[in-house]
Amino acid sequence: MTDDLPPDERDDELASLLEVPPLDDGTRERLVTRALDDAGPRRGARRLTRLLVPAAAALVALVLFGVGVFVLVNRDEDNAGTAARSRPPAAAAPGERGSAPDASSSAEAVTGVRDVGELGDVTDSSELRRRVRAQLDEAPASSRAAPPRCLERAVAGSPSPTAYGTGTHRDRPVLVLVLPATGDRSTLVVLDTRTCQAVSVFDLA
Amino acid sequence: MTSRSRAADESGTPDGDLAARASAGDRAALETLLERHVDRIHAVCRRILGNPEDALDATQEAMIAVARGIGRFDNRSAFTTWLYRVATNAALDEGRRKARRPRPVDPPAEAAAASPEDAVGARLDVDAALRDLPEEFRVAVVLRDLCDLDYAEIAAALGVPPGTVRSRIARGRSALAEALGNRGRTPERPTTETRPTGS
Repeated sequence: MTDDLPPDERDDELASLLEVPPLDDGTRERLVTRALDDAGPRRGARRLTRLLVPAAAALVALVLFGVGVFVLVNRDEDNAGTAARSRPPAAAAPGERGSAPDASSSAEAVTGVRDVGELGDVTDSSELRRRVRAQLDEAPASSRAAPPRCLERAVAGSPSPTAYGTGTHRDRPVLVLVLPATGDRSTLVVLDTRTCQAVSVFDLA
Repeated sequence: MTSRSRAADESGTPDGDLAARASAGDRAALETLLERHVDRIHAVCRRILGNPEDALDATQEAMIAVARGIGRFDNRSAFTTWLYRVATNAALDEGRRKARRPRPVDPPAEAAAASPEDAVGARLDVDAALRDLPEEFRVAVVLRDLCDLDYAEIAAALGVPPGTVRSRIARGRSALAEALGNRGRTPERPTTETRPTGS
């Protein structure tokens, strides 16, 4: 049966002995149908997962990018800023303070950005969230004489804030910005008004 | 369109093309592939396991594995090589599962021989001869002589060197020839790998 075969040659006689008769039609159909049924939902679920995971990742990346760009833009501007901006407010001459771009900006620069007023000490993030939510729900638009420092730049950036307030963070004066984010969530950015740098970023929800 | 008529329409389509379409989610292509190869998958399982019921269970598992894993077939080898590897693994897994389960009695040889699908096998008692072979010999012989895979393909499918495949096939054929009465032919000479030394 095998002794005179060259290497790697099929043994036709043995092959014929090993042959198995074909399955009947019913068994064939049952085997095929079950295999397709078993694999179908899983393949569909995998395709759905393949679509949803990148979409969710892209959405998260977009939100992070927006916040990151905003913070970086403010930081870069501050690094390249003038000596006047880097000096503490107390060191600035009264005249200089009065003619600073922020202070000199008119109300048009902040048109459309709601002022939720003075928020007090916002060092504690949960307290800040509570106060901002309360002010957004209840407080009427404030008529601040001049926009606070750093607000003009924030309005010019992207994403633009939908509301702002002022307060103190670890005894330093800060500007609190409410930035639009995904769904019904917003992002709070706390800027040190002496440097216009972000000192804290977190969700409003 | 029924699956049978669809399979007929696709009769000239190469396996690789159907596999590529199936991998992209074409259910009809996958169905055609399964329909086309179900008998070969069953034959592999039948000869490795030696039992009709176990072979059907293993065939179903192999078909499911093919349907689920078609995306992993990369078209670098022949589709049948990949298919037989899947079928072999399914059969071996089924055999191990069966071995772990207690059996009250071994199935009598007459029962297996009485299966209508075994008209040829019953006469020569191929099942009994195969059952007596060590598993690694049995698999190698089935893949070579039933599936017509060459040594390299079998080596790739089993993850062993080609020399080992050659040795297993030679020894398996020799043992089968002896078990089947050799039909008037002399058993195969041992290969250099298996020949005893010092004679």
